[in-house]
Parts: sequence; structure tokens; C-alpha cells
Amino acid sequence: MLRFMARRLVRLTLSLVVVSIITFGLLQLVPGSFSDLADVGSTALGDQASSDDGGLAGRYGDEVPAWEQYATFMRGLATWDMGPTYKYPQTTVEELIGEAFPVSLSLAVPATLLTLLVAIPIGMLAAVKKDKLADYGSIFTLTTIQALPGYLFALVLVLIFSVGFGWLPVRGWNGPEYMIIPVVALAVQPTAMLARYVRSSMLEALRDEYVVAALAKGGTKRVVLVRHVLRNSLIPLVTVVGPIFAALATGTVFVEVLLGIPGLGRLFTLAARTRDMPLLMGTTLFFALVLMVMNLIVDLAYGLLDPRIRHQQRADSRWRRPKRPRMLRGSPVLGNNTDHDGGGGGSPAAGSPDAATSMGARG
Amino acid sequence: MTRATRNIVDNVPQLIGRRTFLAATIAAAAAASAACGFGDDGSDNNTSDEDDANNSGGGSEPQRGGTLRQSMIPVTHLDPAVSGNSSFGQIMMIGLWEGLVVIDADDPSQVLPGVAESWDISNDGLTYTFHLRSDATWSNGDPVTVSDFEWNWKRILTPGIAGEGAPSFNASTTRIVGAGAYMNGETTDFTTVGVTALDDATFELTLEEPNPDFLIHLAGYWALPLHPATVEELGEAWLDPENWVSNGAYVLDSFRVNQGAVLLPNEHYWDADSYYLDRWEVTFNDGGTTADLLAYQQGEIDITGRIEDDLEAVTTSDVADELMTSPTNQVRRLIVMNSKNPALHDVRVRQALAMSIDREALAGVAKPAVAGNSLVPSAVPEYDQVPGIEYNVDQAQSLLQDAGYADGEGMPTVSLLDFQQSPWVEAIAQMWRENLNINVELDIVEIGVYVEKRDAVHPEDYTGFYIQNGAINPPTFLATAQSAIPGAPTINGTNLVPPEIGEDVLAAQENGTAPADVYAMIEGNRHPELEECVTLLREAIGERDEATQNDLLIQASTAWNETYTLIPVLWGGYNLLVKPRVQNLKPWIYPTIFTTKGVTIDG
Repeated sequence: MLRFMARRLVRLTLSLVVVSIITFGLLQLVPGSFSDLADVGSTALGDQASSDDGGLAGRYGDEVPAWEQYATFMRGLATWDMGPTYKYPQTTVEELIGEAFPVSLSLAVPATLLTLLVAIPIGMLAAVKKDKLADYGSIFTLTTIQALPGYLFALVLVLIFSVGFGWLPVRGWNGPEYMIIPVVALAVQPTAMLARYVRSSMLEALRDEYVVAALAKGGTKRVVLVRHVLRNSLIPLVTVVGPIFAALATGTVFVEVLLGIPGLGRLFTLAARTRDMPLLMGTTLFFALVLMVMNLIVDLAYGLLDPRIRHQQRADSRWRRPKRPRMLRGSPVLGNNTDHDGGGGGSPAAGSPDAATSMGARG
Repeated sequence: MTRATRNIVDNVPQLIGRRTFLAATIAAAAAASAACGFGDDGSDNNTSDEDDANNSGGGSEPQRGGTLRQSMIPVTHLDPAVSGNSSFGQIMMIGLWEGLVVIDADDPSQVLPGVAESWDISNDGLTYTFHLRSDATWSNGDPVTVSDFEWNWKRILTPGIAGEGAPSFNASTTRIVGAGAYMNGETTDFTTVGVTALDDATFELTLEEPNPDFLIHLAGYWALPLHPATVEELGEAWLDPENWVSNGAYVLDSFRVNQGAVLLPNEHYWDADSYYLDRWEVTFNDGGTTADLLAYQQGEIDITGRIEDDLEAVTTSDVADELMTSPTNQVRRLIVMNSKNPALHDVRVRQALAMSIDREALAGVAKPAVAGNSLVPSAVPEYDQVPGIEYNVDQAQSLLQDAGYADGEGMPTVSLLDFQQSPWVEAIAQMWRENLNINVELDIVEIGVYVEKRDAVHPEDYTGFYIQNGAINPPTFLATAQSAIPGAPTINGTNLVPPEIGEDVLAAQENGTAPADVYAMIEGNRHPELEECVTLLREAIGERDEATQNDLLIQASTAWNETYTLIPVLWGGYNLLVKPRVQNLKPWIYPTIFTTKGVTIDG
């Protein structure tokens, strides 16, 4: 276990360094610096800064070469002391992230739960009623919904429930009622995806011999469905739910900006818009870290949930993710996917086993 | 499944059971969502309605109580020493603290006593002696003393006080003796600065030169005092609402980045009777006008943020008549960019362009802004002493002909650079096309690109103007002249010199040459009409005799107008939507926008 963790941590760190270099590099290429933009003002009225000379003193100066700024930031990151940001001179990056991430999380957690609660029954229903109206109807609706981005859905919800009925607030973050629209909007797309996934996963399980056996032994259809089929078809879902959660926790950018929610996504856009280097680096790396840690957890959880996997062992290259154990290859549960996993933890799909093929298309 | 995972699972397989794991996961998820609160709002909401019942009677006494709900661009910090361009924070600051003097909402060109009960100005206009009131107290009950002010002056002048930000104190407009040198670190001896505590109740400020605008500047947010003991004891934690101590009409109850703030009345404030609100809720919105407008129409807020983008959405909405505008001290203007193309280096061409804009028609598509034909807006007393630019197409055409571009022949395409779409900019392009027969294109770019293009020296095939909004604060001729001196932060002057010199200047900046040396490269190399203008401006600012100075300032402002390097097109003020239930709110021309003194909530 220690060796495994050590290897994963080294890989994670390397990935973070690569992400930081790319982010910092891109930021150098983007036109305009924080102080330039502050001159113009964030708005049309562009109140001129009242001071004689702006200029960024302190930790990062305008005159300091880029590589030195990078080194300073990374040193700060390593000691979890990233210092103040340009935009919020009195708050440190870690404080801002500490305030904003719980907000994003409080959208992502309910959205993930909502996804599970809605998607599994719908998927089951569609599988059981295969080729019936309920199946075609729900799959058609889900496919349509999956094509709609969450922020568009948020706008529709605002129009209906805030502007139309006046039941919910338009935007802001002042109480539980402010969570409803963003959570629903966030959950819509993953729900559609997951329901389709549950459906196909159940269909495969339904064809299995143990189902026939269970029915033959006199189990009621309901018991067989819930106890045997559902359970078995849920195992691979874990690999999808992990990345869904990670994607939700870090992918609330549009919805947060649109609905005025003070989460991490809003900080991130603000940082990008104002070229606030420390804040942008901080939020980007934090996003990357969340994704990688989630993938790691999925890997661990998968082993816990599927006892068969615990007993597979195989020596393989140190850095490449090993191939699927032979026993599972072509197993009805996992389908016949071939190994596509080349390692690297940057995208939601990369860290999860093959079952997450459908996630790959999202990322 | 990965081998790696299997490894660990092999090693600790029995520590966690499957069910335990699932249960733990769900419990963790539930805990996480429960822990993510909404700040500490809501916990102490119950104070607001208590007084309402008692306030129904009382004849002419305005109604007390009520909550003011306001939206504004996110405020990044509340430290008076740090300059911020989200000036909305200043509204909150002047509610939280009180300086020596405060702006008079009924006549914003005047100040009223604040912590200073009265003041004397020496005959030479250089020494201001303030007498502090005895009943001024901090929100923890401590008296506000002269030494508090002295401590704060020292603080705002401390080099590097603003950290990554910019300091808010401006030595060149306030001109306190020695302040600039102390701030630059040239001296560490605070006694060289013209800030003196004479005794417990008397405070003296000494200026280098007389400055008729000084008291107005002193009413700005940068001069607000922090509570020294709190700051010294807590460091940055003085900003936390639980540690809050201030001397203004309100105290900070909660503040959350990107979310909002709540202000409650300060019961220790000496003039608490003039403030009627018992709760002031601020929501931060960076979603622009549309988001504000929706929330306003839904009755979630009483006052919107400053409406800047998409003003049309408001003026065409059903709440258009609730739009309030401060007096016009802002000028939307076209500023010439430097280019190797010679066309716009010719003052006749610029004048022709300036004269062929029908500003009245423009105002029609830019409501509530009005036609602005001069760089001195109407909030400045005697602004009409500066002759405005006429709309005269015939003269414009003949100027263009004199410059060698008869009927637009040979003129390059003129670009109008901006970072947002506005109908009035399109209208200008159309007027130029029609009146002068030239090609005009709109160049709407992302704000970072705007910044880079604005300051560049462009190749032969790109020439034109960038759109900018400037404010004259305070609205006087002196402030106009101070803002006009090329070299001010908004115009670094590279656009006012021939392109070769412009390139040298940019190269020097790139190499990290000191600003003063860069400025020396511009000095004397501007176009002749600009050099003349700069000389006049300097002379006017330096003049000691008030009457002569006024004449010189008018003369210099006129000359500035006639360089046509900045072409004024519209005048405007701050625009806000204000619900009718908010009464007695008077938006003013300063970036602090308004005070809640005297403001009542009806019903």
C-alpha cells in the first residue's frame, strides 16, 4: 500500500507541476497584466486609480522576471503560504480557497446525490421496460437533456421559477433557497448521462445467467431486480460517480458566475479576467488537485466494493497503469472495453478504469 | 481495475468493510453539505423589525427603521489606505468610518463637519487647523482622539502599506508637506511631514501650495481613520466583523468575499440620529446590468450597482423611470492612438473628426448621458467658459481637404477600439462614414487586448481612437488641469508624440527605465499644439493668485480641448436604479456615490 501511495503521490505532484507550468506559461502569453487592467477598471466607467503610480510592490513586482515570480509562487504553494492576491491584497489565496471551496462543495454534494437519486430509478425503469414507450420516452428525453449545457438550464429555471412564479431568488447566496436552482441545473446533465449508463449496465446484468437462476429459484421479479441485478450493475457506477462528483465540484464555474454564488468557480473566472496570477495559479492547481484526488479515491473505492478485484495481482510496469485482470476481461459486468488508460490524472476519465469510457467523451 | 489499487486493498482488506465504507461515504457527504453554510447571515436577523412599531407616529420626523438592500460590484477590501477601482467599496467605507470632514449631500461642492467640529484656514491657504468634537467615539466606546488621526496619517503614508495593491493617498492632488517624500521612502522621519497633533483636540495639516480643493479631497475615503489599538493588536484581523471597531454611522456585521456584507447602525456614533436605517445589506454582483436588473425587478434589491454596461436594457425596461443619475462630471471620450500612419498626427484631421460628430443625435442613443462637446463637463462651475466643439460638417470637410484628404480620399481606415459594445460608438462610426466619406471600423476586443493596443505604436495600416470614460474629481477647473497633464496614469503620453519617439518610449519602458526618465523622453517631443497646452496647464496649476489662476485654468482647458487628442463626445454621471421606497437618496459626483445620512425606507 505504501508503495502504491508513494507512486501515486509522485505522479500527482508531477502532474501538478506540469499544470502549474502550463497555467503560468499561458498567463504570460495573455495580453494585459493585472495592473494594466486595474487602470482601465473592471467596468466601463473605469475610475482611474487615484494613486500616482500603481505598480505591484511586495511579493511579486512588475519588474521581477517571470521565472522568479513563478518560483516565488511555487515556493509559497509548497509551504501552503501562497500569500495575498493582486485583486484581494488583504486576503491570502489559501484563505479565499478555504472560503469558496465549501460553497462549491455544497452545490456538488447535493447535485451528486440528486443525480444518483433520479438517475438510478430512471435507468432501471428504462432497462426493465426495454423497447417499450417508457424506455424510448425516457431515453429520448435524457439524450436531449444531455445535449443542453447546465448553465442554459439554469437560465430556464431562473426564468420559470424566479421571474415567472417568483418562488425562488434570482441570484445570490443567502440561504438554502438559493441552492435549489444551481443544484438542479448542475444535476441535469450528469443525471441524463448516468441514467443511460445505468440502463445499459442493467441490461447487461439482466442477460446474465444468475438472473435466470434467481428467477428459476422462485425469486420475485422485484427481489431479483433489486438484490441481484441492481447491485451488480451498480459496481461499475462508482467509477462514473467519482469523476461526476469531481467534475461537479470543480465545474460549477458557469453556474456560479451566472447565479452569483461565491464559490471557487467564480474566483477562478475573476482571477482569469483580472490576470490575478497568484489567485489563478492557486485555483487552477486546487482544481487539478481535487480531480486527481477524486480519481485516486475512485481507484481505492473500486477495490473495496468489488471483492473479486482484491485478489487479482499482477506485476507490471511501475508507471503505466496495468491492464485489466484477465478474469474481468469480457465480463458481462464491465463489457468488452479494451484498455484505454494511459495514465496521467488530468482529465476526469484518465484516472478511472475502463468503465468510465462514457466519461471520456465528456472530458 | 489497477494493480496498484489491488495492492493496497490486499494489504488492508479487512480494515474497512464494504458496507462500512458506503455508510461512511454517505455520512461524509451529508456532513459536507451540512457544513457548507451561508456565512453568519441570518443568525441575527431578528433585530430589524423591533423598532418599526414605535415609529409610526411622530409628525414630521422621518420614519426610522427598515433595511436597505443594495447590489454592487464585489468589494475586494475595506482598507481606506488601499486604492481600489471597485469604488463601490467606498460607499460602504464612508458609512463605516468618519473622517475630519464629510461631503454635504445637498451641495456636494461643500463639506460639513465630521469628526472635526470646526476648522481654520491660514491666510496663505497653507495651514488647516482642525478642532475635533468631544463627543466623537469609536464603536467600542473609546473617544476619537487627535493621536488616532496622527497614527492613521502615518499609516496611509507608510511605504508599501497597500501590499500588492496601490496606495490610495495621492500626494500630487493633496500636496501635504513632505508626504510624497515620506511615502517614497526618501525619509523615515515623520516630523518632516505636514501632519501635526497640536494638543488633544487640535490637529494641523500643512500644504506645500494652496489647494482650494483640499477639503473636498480630505472628505475622500482614503482619509478615513482606522482604530489604532485594534489594528495594532490584531494585524490584518481588524477586518473581521467580530473584531470590528469603527467611528462611522455603521459597524460591519458580516463580510464575505464575492457574496456580500451586512452593516448595522453604530450606537456610539455621535450623529446617529441623522441615520434612519437599521440594517444595510449589500450583495456583490459581477454579473453586470442584466443580473442586477432582474433582481431589482423581482424586488430582491432596492438599489442596483452602477449601471454601466447595457444601459439600454434599463432605459427600455418597465423600471426606466426609477433610474437616478448623479450630476454629470464624466466625459466619454475618444483618445487618439499612436500609429506610423501620419493621418491622425495632423491636428486638422483630428479636428475634422471631432467636428463631424452630431452629439445631440448621439445622446439620443446613449440616454441618460447627454451631449458632451468639451472635456470640461457641466458639473464644473463655469464650465461654459470653455467653448465647446461645434457640429459643423462643412468646416470638417474643408479641414480634411486642407490636410490633403479631400472627400476622404487617401484617409486610412479609422478604428474605434473598445472592450464592450455600445450603440453610440457605432453611431459615431456611421457619422464619420456619412459626413467625411471615410472608412471606419469598430474594434471591440477583450479588455487585456484593449489595454495592450491602447498603449502600442501601431503599424501604418492601423490608426484610430480608443474609447475611454474619464471623471473630473472634484469637479473644478484645477482638477481638470491636473487630470489633463499628459503623463497621468491613464494616458502615459506615448500616444502624443511622433511614432519614432513613441517606439523609443515603449522600448525604454520595457527595459525598466524609471518613470521619470521615460517622461523626460516625452517632454518637449509632443506635437506642437500639445506642448503649448502643457505649458499653459503647468502655468495655471502653479499660479498662486486665485483670480488669475481661474483665468489661466480656463485658458489651459480650452487649449486642451483644441488639441483634439481626446475628443469629448458625451457627458454622464453614475446611474443607479433606486426603488421609490428609498427616500431622500441623493447620488453625487464622487465615486463614493451617495451617503445614507437622511435616507429613509418607506414601508
